[in-house]
Amino acid sequence: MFRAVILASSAALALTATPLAAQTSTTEAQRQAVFQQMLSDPANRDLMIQYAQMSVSLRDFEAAAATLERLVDLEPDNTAARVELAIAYFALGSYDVAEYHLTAAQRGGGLTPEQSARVSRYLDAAEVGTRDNAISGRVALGFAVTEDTDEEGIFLNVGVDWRLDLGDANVTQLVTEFGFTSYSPGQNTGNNRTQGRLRVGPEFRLGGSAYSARLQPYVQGEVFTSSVDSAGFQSFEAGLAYQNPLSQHVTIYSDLSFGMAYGTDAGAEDFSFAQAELGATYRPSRDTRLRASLRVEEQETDEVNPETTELQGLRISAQHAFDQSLIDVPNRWVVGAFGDFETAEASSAFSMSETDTDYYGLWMRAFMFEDTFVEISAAQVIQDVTQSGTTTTTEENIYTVQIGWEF
Amino acid sequence: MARVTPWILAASTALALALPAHAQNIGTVASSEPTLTGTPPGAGARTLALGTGVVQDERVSSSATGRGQLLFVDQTTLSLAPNTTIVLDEFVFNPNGGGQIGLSLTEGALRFIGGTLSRDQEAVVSTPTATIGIRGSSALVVHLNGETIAIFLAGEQLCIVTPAAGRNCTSRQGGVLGEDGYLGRVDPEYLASLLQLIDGTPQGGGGGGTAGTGIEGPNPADRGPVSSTGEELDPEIFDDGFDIEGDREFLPRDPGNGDGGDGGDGIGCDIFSSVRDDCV
Repeated sequence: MFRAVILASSAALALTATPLAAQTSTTEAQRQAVFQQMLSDPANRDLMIQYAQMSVSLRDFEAAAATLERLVDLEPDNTAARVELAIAYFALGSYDVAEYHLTAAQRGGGLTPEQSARVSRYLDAAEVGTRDNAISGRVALGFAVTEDTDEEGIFLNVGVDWRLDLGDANVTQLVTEFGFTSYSPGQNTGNNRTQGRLRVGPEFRLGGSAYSARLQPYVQGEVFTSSVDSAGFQSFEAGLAYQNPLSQHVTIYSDLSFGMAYGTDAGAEDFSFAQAELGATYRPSRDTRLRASLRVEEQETDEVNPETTELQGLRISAQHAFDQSLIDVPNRWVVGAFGDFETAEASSAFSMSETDTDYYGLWMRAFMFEDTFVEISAAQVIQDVTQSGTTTTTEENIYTVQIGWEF
Repeated sequence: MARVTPWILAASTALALALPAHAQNIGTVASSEPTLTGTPPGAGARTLALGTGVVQDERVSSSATGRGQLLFVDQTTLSLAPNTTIVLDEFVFNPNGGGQIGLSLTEGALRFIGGTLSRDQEAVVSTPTATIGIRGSSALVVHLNGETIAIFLAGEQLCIVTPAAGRNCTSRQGGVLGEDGYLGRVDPEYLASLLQLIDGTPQGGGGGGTAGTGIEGPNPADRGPVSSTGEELDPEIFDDGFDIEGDREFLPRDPGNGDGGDGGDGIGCDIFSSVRDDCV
């Protein structure tokens, strides 16, 4: 059932990509035709609006800004056009210019209450965009239930990003990411667990261009504690994260790292590990993302007869953020689906086992207020463990609900 | 109106005769207040009213109270402040790709919003003291009192070349380049004064409704900025692992499986846990 739903969701999103590509080409041709008319009739307001509208739909915010500049020049008291000009600059990341026009619109008066609230929110966001020192993150408290094993518990999920602008011409930033998760299903289970991670590293713009590849060498530390005997560890790793937006539709990325983990419980083993992830994101529109990534991991215990584990995984995911103009909500609603297929082989001088895991899920994050959301998810895991020639198959359905605050 | 038409026809004919035969419009005057003055190569000065075409190598000037915008056939938009003079040095545009745009700013201030020609290679703005390169971008360029300053507004990259400091570039929105190189972020008050110089003092009172471009949203997008060709970085790519995004974290584990015996259903074992005793 789950697989069918996931495949249907992913296929639906993928199918939207083809008509969208054709639509883009048609809109571009129409835009060129409007532009030719605009050249011979540059003060025609309707043509300007049509051209700006098509430019927005094609994600060409620079052309939209240029056109709105002319409209505002011809109609200097058109506050609505000035607000939209500000939003075009905001979309381009030109927060200083956006602030200038938003402030001018605010001072000019005549805004409707809705416009006024919108202008205030964009002003706040533009101010955040110009900060040298930006902290953002998410805190969520949730409840998880597993169907077959009938386990349930609360969990806490915290993620914080701190970006410190180092002030050079190409906005090199020192990026610090902190993550903390804790799950407490109760005393009668071995699944009480807490995990904390801290990653630090500078992020560089390769080629000195605002939208060229970004490279982040980093170091990361992690602490994991569990009520399972001998499961706790601390790990330290070094890595290199890379992403490159090749076009408005495709971004490629990779994350390579290696490190050591040290068991912190009695009987726990130390092990070394190396991980690589390669992926690509395809965005048929700004609101829709399809992502596929391959990962390879290898680890080896630090003992006389080492045990080696090799893992290969493929993850395919899709998500769509609903346009706020379609549904009257204070902030975006996002739905997503994923399928994850993984094979892990563990071998030592004495034993060998293989674990195949198929993992499917659906989720939705719905903002009830501007920065407060409710997220629900359902997932299914099917796992085949083969050991000594015997394969054991288990299935589990997992449901979660969480309420969170984004800042 | 009928009496005026012959005069307009006569004026247009005279203007056409005054221009070199090969002159081809590379753009048009998209707004002017009150007017701009143009001097095409080999011809006398003319008034550039709204809708008048401009040609390559034409000198365009604004008066002490004049401002204007030029829209080029590659969609580049130039806005001129009062007391500004430019020469449209180079404009080669192939609608199927390729070409070059270059102009000289002899005095004054302008805003450059790039079109097709500056997406893959730099548009060039030369001043008496520096050469500015603008790629995939919008910028303000000022040459006043013998000094050149360029401010990067949006897009890919802005560079300046001077004899003293060589080539310096910035990709920081709001970054300022001077003749000595990168000068830091623009002061908001200076930016406001420059925008007022180019666009005039903002007026209010219009309010209400929307202009209709479809760009407006009740809240700012949670995404980062977009390049002039629609590229944007994905801040969530590496988020996996920094919070519980995957429900697999909630899979039950067998607490009594430390002996490696027949307990342990294997569920919940990940790359780290699989070598630990509870998972194999």
